[in-house]
Amino acid sequence: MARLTSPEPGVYKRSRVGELLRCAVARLGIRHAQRPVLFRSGAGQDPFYPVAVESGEELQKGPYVAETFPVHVEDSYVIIENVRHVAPGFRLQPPSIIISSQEPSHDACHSLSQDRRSEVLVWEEVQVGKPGPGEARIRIRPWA
Amino acid sequence: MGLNFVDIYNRSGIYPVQLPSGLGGEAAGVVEEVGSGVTDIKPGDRVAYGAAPIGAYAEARLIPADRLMKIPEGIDDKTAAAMMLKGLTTQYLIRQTYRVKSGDTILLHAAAGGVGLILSQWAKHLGATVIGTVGSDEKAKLAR
Repeated sequence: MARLTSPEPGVYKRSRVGELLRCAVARLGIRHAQRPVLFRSGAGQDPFYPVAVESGEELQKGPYVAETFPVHVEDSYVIIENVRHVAPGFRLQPPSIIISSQEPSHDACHSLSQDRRSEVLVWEEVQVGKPGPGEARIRIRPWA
Repeated sequence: MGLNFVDIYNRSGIYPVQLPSGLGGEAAGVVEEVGSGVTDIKPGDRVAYGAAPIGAYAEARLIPADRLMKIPEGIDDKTAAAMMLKGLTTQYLIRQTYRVKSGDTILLHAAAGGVGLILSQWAKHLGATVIGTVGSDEKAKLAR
């Protein structure tokens, strides 16, 4: 079983590369291969990582406040609601809602790679800027 | 805009793109505005592209003007958008990599795919004999 230690917030070390950490309660976890990935266990898989519910006093207290996002697990996607405001005049590519795409994993479960998430736009809030030197702004015409 | 199988690779991460990013590699539209130094196209021109920075899945976008081609009269936007990437791929294969000529015999895999359908017709027009492979009777019917 892999062990994860964290000397300080945001820094972690894993005991063995490629091991799997799972949360038996939410059936969510973090798989540590080359990069951390968020995954949902496949149907019928029993969680094997022991989980205990501890009272608040048992947890180490610190001055840190974690950055949290609401997460919904659906059939094909994990949707992390992280809506950012789009500044007027933004020249495209402002992230608005982060949607993680899903792909089969070699561990017989579905993995969601953090580095493969797609950041999509709320188009109504985006303004395509003026073209710079050597550029053109084009618009697609609706097809009949 | 045109949809291509490579879009799936970009979306899943097999062909990584730098995030945040749009998707899509080809489209057709109308020039709204050009930046300094752009002389070959002007506002109002109908244009298409097939090898531009990713981001064709958009109602409007900025794009390097040297990636744009004017659409000839008689070719509608839908056709232009759908054939650029496949057409350019075909062009370099049978006119640059090897200049297909009358009397040549070509073995074409995935003859019912986007490139395959264009390439088979183009090669036949050049006088070549095309032997195509497909994965189903339905695709064979389409390729013929």
